[in-house]
Amino acid sequence: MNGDEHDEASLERALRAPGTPSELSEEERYVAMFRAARATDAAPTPAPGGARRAAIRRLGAGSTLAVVFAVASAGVAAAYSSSLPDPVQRAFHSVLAPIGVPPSDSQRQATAQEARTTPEPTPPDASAAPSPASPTTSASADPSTGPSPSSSESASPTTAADSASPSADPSGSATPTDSASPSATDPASPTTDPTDPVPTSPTGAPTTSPSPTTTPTAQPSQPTPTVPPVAPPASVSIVSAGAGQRVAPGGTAVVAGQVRAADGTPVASVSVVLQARGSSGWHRISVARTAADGSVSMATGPLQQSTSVRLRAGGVASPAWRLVLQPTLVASAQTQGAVTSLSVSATGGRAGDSVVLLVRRDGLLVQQARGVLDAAGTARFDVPTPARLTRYVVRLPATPTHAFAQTRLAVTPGTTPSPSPSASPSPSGSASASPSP
Amino acid sequence: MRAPVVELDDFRDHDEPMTELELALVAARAGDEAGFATLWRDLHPRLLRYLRVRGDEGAEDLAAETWMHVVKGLAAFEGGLADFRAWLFTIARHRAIDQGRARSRGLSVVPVADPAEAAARETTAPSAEDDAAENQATAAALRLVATLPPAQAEMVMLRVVAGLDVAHVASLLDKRPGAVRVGVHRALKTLSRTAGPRPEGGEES
Repeated sequence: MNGDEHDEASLERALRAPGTPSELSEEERYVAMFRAARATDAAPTPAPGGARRAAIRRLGAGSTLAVVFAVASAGVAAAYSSSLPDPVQRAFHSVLAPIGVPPSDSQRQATAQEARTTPEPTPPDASAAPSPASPTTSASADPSTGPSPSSSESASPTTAADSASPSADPSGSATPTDSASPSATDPASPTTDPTDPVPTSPTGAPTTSPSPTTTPTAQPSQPTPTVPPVAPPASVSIVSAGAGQRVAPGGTAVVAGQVRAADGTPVASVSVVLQARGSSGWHRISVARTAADGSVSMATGPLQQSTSVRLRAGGVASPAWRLVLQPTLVASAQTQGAVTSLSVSATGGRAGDSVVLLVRRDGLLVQQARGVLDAAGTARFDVPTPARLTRYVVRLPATPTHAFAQTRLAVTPGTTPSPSPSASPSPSGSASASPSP
Repeated sequence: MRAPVVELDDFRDHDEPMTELELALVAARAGDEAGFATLWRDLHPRLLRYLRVRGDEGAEDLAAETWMHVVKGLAAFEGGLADFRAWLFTIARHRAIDQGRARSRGLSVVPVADPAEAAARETTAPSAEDDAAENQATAAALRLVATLPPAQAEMVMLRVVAGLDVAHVASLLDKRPGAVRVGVHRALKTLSRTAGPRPEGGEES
């Protein structure tokens, strides 16, 4: 495609083209969201609360929980006052128990009844991660993907405040809210439970209930007499992951979460599976047990690409949390007579990734050339040696496997600039061989 | 020398079924699912493209969060289609900014993505190749816009793709209307000139 073919009119037409099938593939889901919102629209409005909004917003991070996401967002007002229909209230409570949404009447009755009867074991987890209240089975875990020590910092999730409303000033700025979420985990010294087929990293205080060591049985629903009553997990949430969700190539992220029962109390000593989304669905990375306060923390393995992770316990999964790989760009220039070679090396990029070379003209960045990374993660641009100081910008556009990265390079005739490290993870703050404007 | 300023047409007045969308908005406010679906089919692709060109990670999640707010407040919404679009994209932009702030403290430049390439890699359905062929022009255009400076790219997306008028774009970006007109005009001129690699060397900035 060349410039002649791209006049303004055709460009605008292309930009405003009707939606593609992939863009419109989730229409039914959105209509269901609309339907759910309308169904609970007449409910009273709750008092505003930052923590509540933050928890609600976290639901949006997981497209896999779309139904709950839709229902919860629309009817949360009614949920606080327990005025929703029972199934809806139950759905709300399963997700929003940590922020005070009460259970439904039937849930309260069931919980009370359950407390009076013999404890039932937790239903087996679909991901083959048995809870401590259920018999230990021979899970098909991959020991090679166990937790590894991490140097990553724990960060708080994005919890933006309401930024726009129908009658609000559209220019009102949104405000991110930080919520510290310290983890009691020491990932550097995991203690492996010999009864667990997957390396585990217990968090916080030692578990108060013994881990059952029964042999696999064909009737996993039979209660184990030695197991104390443990309320099944009703909600699992990720409270922090990685350093602002950005991970350096080969780096790890620590995912911290919280498990609560239907009544909102923390669930201790329950197995939690850290899962990552792959091309064939969710797969297990690691397993750990919750501490006495229901918290759990696990480290991912070295990340080579962006991925989504979630925590799962007792058949309940948290919203997905995106961990984004932040590539590192290094650019250097070599002048040989009339030609200057600009070399770019991208750590975290992939062979075939586009690399864009831009130059500043009249105050605007204009594309100079476009190349691709080779198998070694490098690209080279040969440009005429400039007559005066020229500043270049090299960009590695975002892809599904990594985030955007950029670096700058200034070329002065007669000099050979030293390599400039990448801007990552702050694309605008790239170092350069020469001062950048 | 300053480039001559040419008033852009109001994009909404051309080939978009305004009457249908306005009726759909009225119906959706009254709770009609078909009306909401009509609105969504028109605006959701624009929203996704806008978020992708902004370079925001998880454009689908941001879009879902945006629509969640819309359906919550739709019954109380007052205004026409232009106001509705401005509302929708205001929510989306604020959500994206919040996400960006949380991810990278102190980021002053909104990175741009390569939506064409991303779209090509993300499509794994059997019809992925067909989709890619159908939308080659749109993908290429989005890729071009993504090479603009972030502020200009956002202006173009809000003005051309979202269909917001100059006043709304200026308000949303906290700029003067004249700056928006000039910025979009120059951006489109730049895009029409700079498609593809240029053989000559760089010039002094």
